[in-house]
Amino acid sequence: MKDVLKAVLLHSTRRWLRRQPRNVLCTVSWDFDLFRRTTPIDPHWGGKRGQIIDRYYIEKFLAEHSSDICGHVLEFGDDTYAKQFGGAKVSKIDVMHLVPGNPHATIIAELANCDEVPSDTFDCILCTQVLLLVFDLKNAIRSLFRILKPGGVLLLTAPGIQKISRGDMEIGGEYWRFTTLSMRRLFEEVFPPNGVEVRNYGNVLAATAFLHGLSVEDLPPKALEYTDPDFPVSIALRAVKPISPMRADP
Amino acid sequence: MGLENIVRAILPTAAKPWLRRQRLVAARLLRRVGVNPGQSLLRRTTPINPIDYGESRGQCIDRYYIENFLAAHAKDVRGHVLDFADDNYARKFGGNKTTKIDVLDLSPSNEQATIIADLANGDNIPSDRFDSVLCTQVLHCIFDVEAAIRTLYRILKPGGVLLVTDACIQKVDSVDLQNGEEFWRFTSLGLRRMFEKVFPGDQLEVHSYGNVLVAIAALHGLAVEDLTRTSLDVVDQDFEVLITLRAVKPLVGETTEVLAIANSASHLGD
Repeated sequence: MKDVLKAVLLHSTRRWLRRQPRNVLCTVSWDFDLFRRTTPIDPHWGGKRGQIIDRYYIEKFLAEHSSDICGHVLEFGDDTYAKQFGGAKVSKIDVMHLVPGNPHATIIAELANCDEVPSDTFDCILCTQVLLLVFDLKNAIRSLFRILKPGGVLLLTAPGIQKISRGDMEIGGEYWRFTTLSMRRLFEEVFPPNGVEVRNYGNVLAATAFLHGLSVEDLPPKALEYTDPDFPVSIALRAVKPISPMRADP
Repeated sequence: MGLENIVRAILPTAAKPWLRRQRLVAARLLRRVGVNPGQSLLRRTTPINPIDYGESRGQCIDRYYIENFLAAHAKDVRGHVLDFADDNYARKFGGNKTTKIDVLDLSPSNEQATIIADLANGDNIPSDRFDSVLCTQVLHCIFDVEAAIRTLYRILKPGGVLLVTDACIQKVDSVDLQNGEEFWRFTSLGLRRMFEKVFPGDQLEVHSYGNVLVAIAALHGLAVEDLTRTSLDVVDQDFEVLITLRAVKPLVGETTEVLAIANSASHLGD
């Protein structure tokens, strides 16, 4: 019987059917629970269950702007995104990290105070989920501008709604959540405003699931696509350093 | 969803009302065992209450923590008090300990306001004026928060007390966003670090309140009445729904060093 079904049903239908018991059971039991429980369903970020919810947005943003990721690229923490989205367009990757001990890191520095990194160095900087860990935002943004090559592109993401990351809190501290407004204002003080694009991702379901440590796979398909400006789970920014310094002052 | 559409296309129109009735019966049964299909928190991409922060259903969740905090520090609310936007909290928690109440607002259209000023460059507010400043849910609306904190320090009398609250996990107010008044959510550490630059750090008291249930209820615009007191009082440090801070301006001569630092910082800011 099972074999007959297997032969008749399309692969996608089989996969859909296999997910249904889990979907129904989880949704019903979680629903029952969600108005009562004061602890998250999963105390981690959802990485063990599937794709982490903010990563879905971050990767969507980077995929849309993958043409910017080329040449000499700077990333933070590790080089995953530079490799994944830059591919063969990338000629060199540097990885910045705050504290020594990270095997991927080629630069150990604090972004707000990284005078040892030469100016006009990078064609592209991937600064995902970093700014929330920086106390001195203005100097960090000035550094990002300084170390970009003229014409270079900064692709940056930061959270609007997120729980505290205990690990980061214990290393260097975690300070902020942003809105599209603060993000634009912060960067327009350093980058020419016509080269700054800001957008937000997320809705109340994405926020709820993210806080509970659920993953993209736990949610109905397309649930993350709807964008509600009241619930900015992730905020993404693209900024370009002008080619001629004259254009820096509009 | 796909399945539902197929069924809808195949079934004759006459069967549709019957199906709808069955669905209602099923929903009623589910509700009886505690599952609310219409409000499934893991299906709906819109908040249960989209219109406000819970005021339309009862007490706003933020206000529960804010008022608990102010009640616990009611002895600090005395003498000449500064409140923001209206004088409700100064009256409620100051009672007859207050001698004078001033209300600060950015907008001149606020009739209750006695001081119209932008806290970030409040040069028109006199120095060493207030015994107590109640700065609740204000700082996230100010872009240059550090300048605002320097103003708060300056306008407090020596020995005066500042009571601050603000949010970390909270939805964004689209109206405020359009008006250019919705900038930040702070973590308790972020707030502490900023205040330590101006106020003496050893006298700062910072606490966070909330847990994942409260965070989600607040995002959905639910009210205190939708939750139990027990669940509101569970504190999970990873879910900072509300942050409270109490700071004291040192008496003259007590810590001149801090004053000097604060003054030099304010000059740098200019």
